[in-house]
This record gives sequence, structure tokens and C-alpha cells, in this order.
Amino acid sequence: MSKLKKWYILFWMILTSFTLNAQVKTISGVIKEEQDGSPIVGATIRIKGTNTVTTSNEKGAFSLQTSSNNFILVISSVGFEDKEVAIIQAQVPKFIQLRPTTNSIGDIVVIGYGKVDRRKLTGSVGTLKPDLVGSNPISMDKLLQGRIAGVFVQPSSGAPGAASSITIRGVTTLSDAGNSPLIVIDGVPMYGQDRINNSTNFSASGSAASFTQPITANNYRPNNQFERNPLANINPDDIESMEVLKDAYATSIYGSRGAAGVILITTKKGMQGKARVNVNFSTVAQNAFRLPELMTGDEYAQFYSDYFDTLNTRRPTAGWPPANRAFKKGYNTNWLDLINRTGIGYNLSTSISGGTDKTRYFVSGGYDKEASYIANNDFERFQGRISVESNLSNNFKIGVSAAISATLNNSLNAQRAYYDAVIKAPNIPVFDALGSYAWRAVFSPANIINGTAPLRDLNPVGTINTGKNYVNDLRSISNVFAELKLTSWLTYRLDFGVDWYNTKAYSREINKQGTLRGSATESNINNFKTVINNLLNFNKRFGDHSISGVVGQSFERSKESATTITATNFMDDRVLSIISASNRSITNALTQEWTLVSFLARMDYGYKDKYLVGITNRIDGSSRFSTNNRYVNFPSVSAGWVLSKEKFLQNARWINELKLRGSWGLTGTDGGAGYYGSLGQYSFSTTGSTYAGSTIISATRPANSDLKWQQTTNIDFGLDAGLFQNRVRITAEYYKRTTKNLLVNGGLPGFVGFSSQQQNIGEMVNRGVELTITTRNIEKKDFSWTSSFNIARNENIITKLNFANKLDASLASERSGGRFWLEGASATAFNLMYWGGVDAATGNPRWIGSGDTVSLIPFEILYSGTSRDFNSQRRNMGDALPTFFGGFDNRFRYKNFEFSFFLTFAVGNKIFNGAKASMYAYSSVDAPNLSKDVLNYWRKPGDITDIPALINQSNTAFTPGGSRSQFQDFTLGRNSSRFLEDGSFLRLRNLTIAYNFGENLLRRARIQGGSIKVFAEANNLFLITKYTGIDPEISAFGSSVLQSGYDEITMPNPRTFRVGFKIGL
Amino acid sequence: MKLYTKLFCIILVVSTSCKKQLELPPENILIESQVVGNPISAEALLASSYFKTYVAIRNYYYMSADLATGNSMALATNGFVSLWNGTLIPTSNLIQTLWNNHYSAINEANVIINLIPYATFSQSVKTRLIAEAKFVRALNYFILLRDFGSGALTGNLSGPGVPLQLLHYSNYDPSKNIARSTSLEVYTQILKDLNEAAEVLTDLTTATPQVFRGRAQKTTCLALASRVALYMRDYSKAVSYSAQALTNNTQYVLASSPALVFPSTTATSNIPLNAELIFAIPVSYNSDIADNNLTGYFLKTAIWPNPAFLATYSPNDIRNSSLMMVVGNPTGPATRVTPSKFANPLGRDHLPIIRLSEIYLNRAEALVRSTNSINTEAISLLNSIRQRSFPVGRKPTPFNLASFASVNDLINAILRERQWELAFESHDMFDKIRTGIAPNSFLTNPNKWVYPIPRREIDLTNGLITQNPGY
Repeated sequence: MSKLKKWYILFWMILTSFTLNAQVKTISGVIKEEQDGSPIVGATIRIKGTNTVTTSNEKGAFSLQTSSNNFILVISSVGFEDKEVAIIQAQVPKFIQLRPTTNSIGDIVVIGYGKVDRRKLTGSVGTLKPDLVGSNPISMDKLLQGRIAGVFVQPSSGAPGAASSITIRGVTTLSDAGNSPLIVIDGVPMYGQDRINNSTNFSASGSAASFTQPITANNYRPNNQFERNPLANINPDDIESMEVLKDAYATSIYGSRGAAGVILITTKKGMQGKARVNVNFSTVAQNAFRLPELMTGDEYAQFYSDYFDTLNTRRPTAGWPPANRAFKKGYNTNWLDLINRTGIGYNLSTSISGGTDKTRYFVSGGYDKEASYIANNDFERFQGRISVESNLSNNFKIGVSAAISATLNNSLNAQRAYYDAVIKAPNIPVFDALGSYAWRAVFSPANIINGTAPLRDLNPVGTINTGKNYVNDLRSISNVFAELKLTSWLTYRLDFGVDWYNTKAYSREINKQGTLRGSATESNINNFKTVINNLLNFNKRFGDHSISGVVGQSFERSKESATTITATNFMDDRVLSIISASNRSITNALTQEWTLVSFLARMDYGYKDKYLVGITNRIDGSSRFSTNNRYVNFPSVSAGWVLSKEKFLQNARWINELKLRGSWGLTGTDGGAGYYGSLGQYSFSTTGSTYAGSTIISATRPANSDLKWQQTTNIDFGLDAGLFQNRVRITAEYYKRTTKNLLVNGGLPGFVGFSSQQQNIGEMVNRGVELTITTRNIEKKDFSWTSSFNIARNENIITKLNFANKLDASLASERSGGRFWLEGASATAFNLMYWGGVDAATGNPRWIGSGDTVSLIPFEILYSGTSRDFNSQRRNMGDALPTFFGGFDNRFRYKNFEFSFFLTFAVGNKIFNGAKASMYAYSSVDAPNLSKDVLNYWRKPGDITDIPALINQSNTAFTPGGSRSQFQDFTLGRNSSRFLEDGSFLRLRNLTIAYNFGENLLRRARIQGGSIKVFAEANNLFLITKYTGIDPEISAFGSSVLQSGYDEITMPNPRTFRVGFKIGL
Repeated sequence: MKLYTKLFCIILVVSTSCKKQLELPPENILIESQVVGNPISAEALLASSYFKTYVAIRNYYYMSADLATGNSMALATNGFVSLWNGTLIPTSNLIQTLWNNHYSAINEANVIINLIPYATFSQSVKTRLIAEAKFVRALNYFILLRDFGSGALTGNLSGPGVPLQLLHYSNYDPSKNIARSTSLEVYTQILKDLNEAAEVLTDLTTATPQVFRGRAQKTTCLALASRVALYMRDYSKAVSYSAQALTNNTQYVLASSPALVFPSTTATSNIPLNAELIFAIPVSYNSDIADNNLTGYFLKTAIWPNPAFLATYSPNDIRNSSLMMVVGNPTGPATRVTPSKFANPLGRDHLPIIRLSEIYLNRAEALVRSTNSINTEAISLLNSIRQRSFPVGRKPTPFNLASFASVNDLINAILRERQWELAFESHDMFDKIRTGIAPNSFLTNPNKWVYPIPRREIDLTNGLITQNPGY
């Protein structure tokens, strides 16, 4: 209603109140809820400026007696915004609609293709509205961490812009693609976590471990790869709310992509009213949480000299070890200290929003800089968003929401420098005698004699100060819509959205020994996705019956192109262009496409708002699906019972809301089988093989037209309660998710022409419970305390794995050392050789076999050449994912002060301390630096220690038969339990204190309705854990949850301190 | 209501184009229908099936037949000694790889045989592609049967052969797993394929040397069939096949000296193919970095001719002269020699599979066995091979009817010549086995004359595919 109109009415009223006779009459009307038209009981209706008051009855109806003809009705009700209605000539509209306030229990929840009142929700949806006391984290995945029950977010490392894994209610599939939730931002399904598609390879002079002796069996090899975080392109300050869809009611409408859960992001929109300006600014200092403790140069030199002496006495061969076995002392370079710094970053976020009753707008812009604790490694983001909605007529509305962001991540070398700083020998200086970086200087006799190592350039200080390694993302996620109100209860909406995601990565190694005249890699990734939705939303009430829902159709198309070019031999380190190198090659050039055609429907039915039923269905046709099973149907049904509306609970005044609900439905996973899953594929030989002059095209992948799609059956039972005037709100849930037709690479008998193929041979169950309690503990004028606690438990079991030869097939699927799949165990279980400590008498490691037999010889050697498989001795030693996890947030307000702290925890998760394994890996060739722990090695019979003798039966110095030309070290393998540790933790993730400048102060400065807040916060202040590494909340394998639980000198999460202010005018 | 109409149109456009939108051909690869629908890519697929056959044959699978009988020697620590010393176990990777490689080649041949008939390009091209694919299929089945078929070489043709997969792969359906056919059934299929191929193929005069000798011609099929018949002990068939294989004496000519067939060369590409080669893998014409994996002979450290075997050659035999037993790697052990057949330092020697001299010997043996007499034609065939192996002036007296006291004497002379002539060419172990002789002292149990069926095949078919006796 425009202001002009209001004035006009007021004028009329004043005029008429004088001219008409006072005559008592009865007026009446019905108060209804705006969303679905349900009657509002107990609303207060008052004639403005009088004491004439009444309340609405159970049908929302009211009547009042008044003598005036023109007046204003003020209607208020708990959970709804107050409304004033001008009455002229006593003409009361039949229905008066109230809009629910968003912060009450009756708030509106965004679900797939629509919205629903939380009180009528029959599914499981977790909502997060970012309104922290302090600043939002830089990306939304970190914002979600610990906030919603059942949502497990694990950052991969402390490097800025690195991906996180997000797992909702456990591992969904055994394929890498398909365990990350679908993320939909304002109706546009965006490119989300995907370890393969989001990884950028860069050139480097082999960070991969080179020639070592002994060779660590089942070693981890760092790869020159960086997995980008696709969520880092979105500014959390622009997010109005995030809804995590967890059960079938909520996710089945996303069909073939709903199995791993769905996250809906709703961005901020303009509201009617005068322009509001918000400015947030903060400065952040980032530090390493802790650094590994390593040997000094002298300790290092002494240790290796001793080791070579031991080698000389225990295992001499001709000319080896050398006569001069002393490592040089005198230099004590602390490489970690040299690259470590306090990174200073910034966050600036501004927005302006407002609107009239016809047009509303929201415009924002921001700049962020995250400076890692490794020098010269920064992440920057620039972004802007505009959202405009306009009512072209009473029943036609159009709008646009467009965002662009640019990120420049310069910190791709951070992880590599950190790793190198740990293993680089400390007894050498940073610069050689000529003043250039000592990339390969070795102060050890072994290398001088061998002349072989190190085979790579290793100088973390040089790494961060020379060359380039960055990735630059340009992204726009935008949509336009048109909405036409066909009747009072039926709305048609057309959405068109795009996600345009452009990435350029460039890495450059300067001219040095390993990369003579420099080497560079440049990759360009261009992902473009469009989505068109046609939706008919309906919302109708017939007496006690209410029906709402949506029928629609969606079409999505994605085109993903990538090219990678590499070059060596540049004329000058300062010339960056690849074309200027004399040796160039294209290593990748590929465009892939997929399309998805979908039909969807949801219907919610309510009887007296007490008995609720929901039905959804989606039919997906995907180009990724096999031709024989192209269209797949994903239905769901749900029901809810609002007990608090039953008569028998009407007297229990402390129960404000009590609802039981349950749902059943199907969801799917469309990844796993690649882009063209079902088609037999033929490829040209990449090596250019010919036969008798003919080019060769060979069958590279078998056709799979009967492949069925992975299907997850979701069952969910939940209870929502609001107690004590909704001061206590509880949601408790139980779920069971069964995934059938799991795609696993299964064996084919060779006579069919292929030996393996993706097959539907697995089944998996996730079972769990979730509990969320939000309380307003104290609500006083000057003091308030609210808290929010969530905890979730999930149990994952692979119930079926139709491998013909179980152990063999399981081993074929083994990755990252200790992880393979067995029936009856979790998908993220560690299956390891059981390390039984060090034998005090001999200094040999004790290996405990399947029957608790103890062997001083590793099973790999013991069973070598026999029919017994050493892998049969491995046992399930625990799970990488926690049994319980959650978060606990507390907020206090005292007068103008605000204070909050946020704890997150996980219990029962195991982590493989590969960092320690690497820091225990002494080798006679590379001679990497080591943990001080190693100094405590077994020296003489009777020594009680957990470090074996330097030469022992498990690093094969005494292999029976001893014909191996190289040593193998089985004490450090990723398939042994030696380094498996309990990763349970409790972390103080955030502590914030803020001060609000009082309104009085602002008023004195003639600022109305504004706010100014200054705040200081600390993140990651303390961590309580038994883990002996630095940080149990990291993963060497990025967003891949199937490979979680490995710390491979992975950069720990930083500790940060932030100060800033927020101004709203 | 213009707006409604417009919106309705959008819905219509979007929903009607659905079906087309869901068929997306990949960019970086071809799909089956594309490959067989075009003569050039179909040709490339055929080339692949030849190449896969080569991959399956080369390396230690090629070496082992001569190592087994002591024609050559190898380090005892080599992993592949189990291929002939009786220690092979059903879970061995060696046999799994062998099995998979041959069936992988067979599958591509099956794609051509079964799908090319529906292609729309030239009928003559289609006919030739199919015929060549049948040769490839026959060759691979022959090797599989020879290696895995229990009794296939010892006359028990009712014993289990190998699974006879004649369909191309389209989908895996465990209910369509097949058991092992009998050896006779497999032999019958092999000869059927070869007959059908020989019927439509010609000895193409326009082909380049590498295509002429590296791919199937009419004679190639008949020549292979003569060996197949010999191995299955159908000697009259062997007589007739060899006769047909010997009719083209302009393009297949016995060299005047065996040394001319195998010149020792360091060239890495386009090494000439001698007219005596009926079928050889033209390694030096293939642009692939992979060699024939027989450089062990050049290096002399992994494999080398057994001096005891070389001592069995008559003095002056060119096949044991410096013309054919060369120095090889100069830095290798001086006491050892390298056969000129595999003396290329980079392993680019052509890999001989069928040579004209073998057909002479096949025919000679088949004539004697089928007639059970001291056959004069057989003696003359034997003489042509033997006489050319000696330098002019030092040739031995040619054999005549009086040279042989019995039929067996003649057979033994032919087999002896066969061992000398075809040494290191992957024949000897099978010639021993098919004549009932244990190849070596480890293999006295005839059960071990064939490899075990890979355990994985048995597991994955739930025992439908059975194991060979003795494993």
C-alpha cells in the first residue's frame, strides 16, 4: 500500500468521523494466515486508539461493536507480524491475512520448489539462518560446521580455498561422485563438491617422494594437486537461510540427485521500506595452531650418522655404507619457522536494500582476503549481488537475482611448502654458497657417494618465494523468474537459472635443476549449466481441509569443458605465457555434457492442521542413465500428527507444540558411472599405436545397458516439540537409509572380453539418530541467554557386496592403504595389520595375526611365496567417521554486550596419523628430517619403547633369503595400525564478544533505527583431543569422504583472531 | 491472455525436446554403433584385434615354448618360469593375463563378425573385414585351446576345451555364462572360421608387405588350418590344407637360406618382411613404443639359446652359424649368443607366427602319418628345408627312401628338423606335447601339459567353468 493511499484514507476518516452520526454497529471478520489461509486462533483485534478489544475464535472469526464508521483495526497474534487495516464506511474485508514472523516456531521453511510452514512440515529439514554475533566464516561449508544435526562437515586442510567434505546422514554410495549433497542456490542446482572435477593439477619438480631406502611399503605419495572449494565463491553474508533437506519428504523431490541430501540456499532479498545500508568490516589474523616438532640440524646429523654406523655394522655390502658416514653439523635451519607467519586478512561486506510495495531490491558487494599462515599464500574474493523483484501488476511479478564473484587463490603452494618444510633436512642452509636457493644441497655422505638424491628440488622457502601457482575462479550463479497469480490459490512460476563457472589455473616452476629453464601448467575449466523450471504452486483451504503443493517440470543441461596445456623451456623466468616456451604440449582437451529432464509434484494435505499427509514424486530422465533404464521414479509419502492440537493436550499448557512425523521415500545418485554410463566405449590409443600401418581403435569400456541406478530408501521418524512458551524446542529423529544397487567395480569372467565393469552389486545401510535442542534459558530485559545443542549418531554398514572372490575383490577396491570394503563393515573402516608394539627383547615390531598369533616378521614377508594371503591377517580397526558428533552454541546478551561461544565435537572417529609415519621414515638416501620421537629408538634388550630398532626384521634388513635389492620398510605402511589414533575431539570453534552502541547514542547522532556493533572473536581457540598429531579435523584426500581419515602432513586448520564492526543504517 | 500463450509455448518447447536432449554422444570416444558404421573405424577396430592378439602372444608367452624344452635358458628367478616348470597355480596372474588378453582380442573380432553385416558401406569391404576377423578369432581360440584345453594336443578331443564365446559383449548377464566346450567343438569352430575366411579372401596382390604378411590372406588361413589339423591329429585334413597353402608359390617363396629370412639388423622401422613369412607381427611397421618384449635374447642376461641345444645342430648348419647365432649385446656375457631371429636391440624384430618352412614340415609329417608310409613327397619336403640350411659345397647328402628304416624314423627326422628350423619361434613345447613327449623333467605329469583355468573364471561363473584335472 503506497503512502499516498494511506494519507488519503486518513484524510477520509477524519473527514467522515465528523460528518456521520455515532451509531453502534457490529463488525466482524476472519483472521487468516497469509501462507495457506488457515484460521488464526486467539489473535487480538483492537480498534486503534480505543480500548475496544476482542480475540478471534477457533475459526479465526471475530466481531466487535463500534460506533464509528472509519477506523483502524490493529491485529496482533503471537508468531505473526502486527497488521493495521484501515476500515472505511465500516466495510471490513471478509478475510484479514497475517504474515508469520520468521523467528518464531511457526516460521517458513524453504523446501524443494516451494515453502512450507514449519508447523506443518512432515519432513526433516534443518535450517540455519546466519546471524552470528561476530563475522561469518569465509565460506558456507565452514558456516555449516557443527550447526545442524547429522551434517558432518570436514575441512580438508588449513589451506585457504581448499574443499571440505559435507556428508549428510552418512556415506551414501561407494562411488566418489555421489556422497556430496546437491546444493541449490535460489533454485539453481550449482556445481558442488567433486574431487575429480574440482582438482587442479600443477607442475612441480616431483613433490612425490623420490628414491628412498628403505622404501616404505604402502606409502602415501603427495600429489601436485589442489582441490578447489566450489562453495568459496558464495559470500555467506548474502545468505538469508540455508535449509538442509535430510529425509525422503524433503529430498525425493530432487530425485536422482537427492540421496546424499540437499542444501537449499536462499539469498537475501529486499524488503519494503526505506533503504537500509549495512557495512561489515573486520580484520583477521591467522596463525598456525601448532607446528610439528622436528629434529634440529645437529640432532638430525647425529641421528643419521648413528643410523649409517648401524647400517655399516649390521648390513655392510661392498662400498656401502661409505667410509665417511658423518652428517654435517653446524646448521640448524628451522624450515617451518621460515615459512610460517601471521597472515593478516580482511572482510568487507556492504549491502543496500529496500523497496516500495511494487519493487524491492537488494544490492551487495564485498571483498575478502584470507592470508594463510604460510607466507605468500593468500586467497582473495571479490563479489557482488543484485536482487530485484517487481510487481508489474496485481497478479504478475518478475524478478532477477544475479551474483558474480571472482576468487584468486594464490595459496596452492601452501600445502606443498608445509610438507616440504617438515621433511627437508635441517642441517643445510636456505641458500647455497652462490646465494641461490639450495634446492638440492645435501649435507650427507650418502648422497655425495650415491650421486642419486634428492631427485627433486626441495626448498620450502624457495617454493613460496619463486614461481607462481594460482587458481582464478570467475563465477556467476543467477536466475530470473516470472510469477503469475492465476487465481487466489494458484500461482505459475517460471525460473531460468545459470551457473557459469570459469576457472583458470596457472603454475610455474622457475629455472632450477629439476625444472631446467622452467616448467608451467595452465588449465582452463569452463562449466556452464542452465536450468528451467515450470512450476504451478497451489494452496487452498476448504473448511477444515487444506491442500498445498506444486506440480512442475524441470530441464537442466550442463556442459563442462577443460583444457590443460603444459610447457617447459622458457627463455626467462619472468615470461609467463606458455606460448613463449619452446616445448609445449596439450595434455587435456575435453568437453562433456549431460542433461536432465524431470517432472515433479508435491502435495501436502492437512485436516484441521492436526493430521498432515505429504506426497511427493519426481521422474528423472538423465542422459547419464542407461538407455534401458532412462526414466526413474522417486516417490515419497509422509505423515504428521500435531498432538498439541488434540484436546487431551490442550490443558498441558507447557506444551506449545508437539508433532510426530514420519516419512518414507526413494532417492537416487546420478554420479558413479560417469557421463555416458551405459554406452560401450571405443578409444583411439593415446600412444598412437598402429598395426601394420592402420590406426587402432579399441574397446576400452564395456557397454552396460542394463545398469540400474543406485537407489536409496529413506525412512525417517521425527518429533518436534515446543515447550514452555516455545522456550525449549526439541527435534529428535531416527532414520534408516538403505542404498541398493550400489555401483562397484565388479569382476567379469575374462571370457566375455572384459575383466571388470561397474556393477550393481552392493547394498549399504545408514542408521542414525539426531537430536537438536534450542533453548532460551534466560530472557530478561538486560540479560538473555540462548543456547543450541545438536548431536547425531550414524552407523554405516555395507550389508551386501556381491564379489565373487571377496577378499581379492575387496583389495582391488583398496585405496589409500588401509581402506577397502567388506560386507558387514563400514564404508570408511580401516582394515589394518595389527601392530603389537616393539618386542623389548629384540627391538623388532610385533605383528598380531588374525588368531592373535604374534609374529616378529611382517606377514607380507612371512607369507611371501605361499598360497596364504597376508591381507587375510588384517582386521577392522575402526572407522574414519565419528559415531557421535555435533555442536553446542551459546549466546549471552547483557545490556549492550553480546557474548557467544561455539563448541563442536566428534567422538569415535579414527584417524591415520600419516604425518607421524612420514616423520618416522628415516631413509639412507633422501634422509628426510624426522620427529624427535625417533631418537627414542630401541637400542638394547630390555628397552621399552614404541620405536623399533633402527634395523629390524620389518624393514627387511634380514629378509629370509635376502635377495631383495632394496629394503622395504613395513613399519610405516598405511596398512598397519601403528599410526591409527583416536581422532575424537572437542573444539572451541568460536568465541565472540561484541558491544552494541546503544540506540540513544545513535539517536544523538541523529541516526534512527540503526545499529553499530563492534566485535572481537577468536576461532579455534582450543582443542581437546587424544590425537597426537596437530589437528584431527583434516583429510589428505579433500572432499572425498570415502578416503577420509588420513593426516598426511596435511596443513592443520589455523587459529584466527578477528576484530571488526557492523553498521546498519 | 497473450502472456499465458507465451508461457505455454515455453513449456511446450521445453517438454517436447526432451527425448533428443537425453541422447548425448561423448566427445572423446566413439560408441559401438559409430565404430562399426564406418569402414575406416571398422578397419581400425580390426587392427586393434590384431594388435591385441600380438599383445597376448608376445613376451614370455612366446619364449616359454622354447624355454620349456631346453632350446633356450633363462634365469631361474624369473617370475615366468612357472609357465613351464609345473608350479603354476590357478590364481597366477600370468595365466589370467594370457586368458584375458586372448578373449579381449576375440571380443573385438566378435564385434566385427556380428555387427558389420548390418553396416551400410561397401559389401566387399564388409566381407573382407569379417573374414579377417574370423581369422583373428580362429588364431586366438587355437592358442587358448592349445594352452588350456585338456587333451586338446594329446588326442582326447572330448575333453574340456575353452568357453566358446562367439557373441560380442553387450551386457553382463551371469545367467548367460557359458561352460567350456569340448576341444573337438573348439577345433571345429576354428576350422569353420578359417574355411569361411579362406573362401572369401584372396592373396591380395595390391597389399603392402606389412599388410600382406601381417594380416590374413587366403593362404594365411589355410596355412594356420594345416597346423590346427596337425595338432588335432586329423592328418588327412592337414595334408589337404597344406596342399592348398602351398599353391601360391609366387608370393610365398622359400628363401634360399634361412639366414635371409632373419637378417640381423639394428633398424627400428620398416624392416623388410621376407617372402617366406606367411603370418608375422610386423613389429617394425607398428608405431608403438612397445617392443616385442624379446629383447631378452639380445641382452642375453634374461634368456639365451641353450648351448646344449645348439650343439645338436650338424656342423655347418647355417642355423647355428655366425649368420644366425650372432653376438647380440656386445656387453652381455661373451659365452652366450643371440639368435638373429630376435637380435634387434630395441625389440623391433617381426614376430614370426607362420612360416612357409613350417607348412613344408606340417605337410611332410601329415603325409607320413596319414599314409603311415615312408612317403617320398615327405622326404622331398624335408630335404628342401634341410638342404637350404647348409652353405653351398657343404650340404649333406639328401635323404632318400633308403635313409629311413621305418615310418617312425622318418617322423622323427621331420620332428627333429622342425625343432631346429623353428627354434625360438614358440613351437617346440607343443610339438613335444602333441607327440606325447614330456617337454621337461618337471612336466612328467600330462595333466600339467596344459595351464590351469584361471581361478577367477571359476569363481565368477560359480563353477560353471571347470578346472583342468590335476590343479
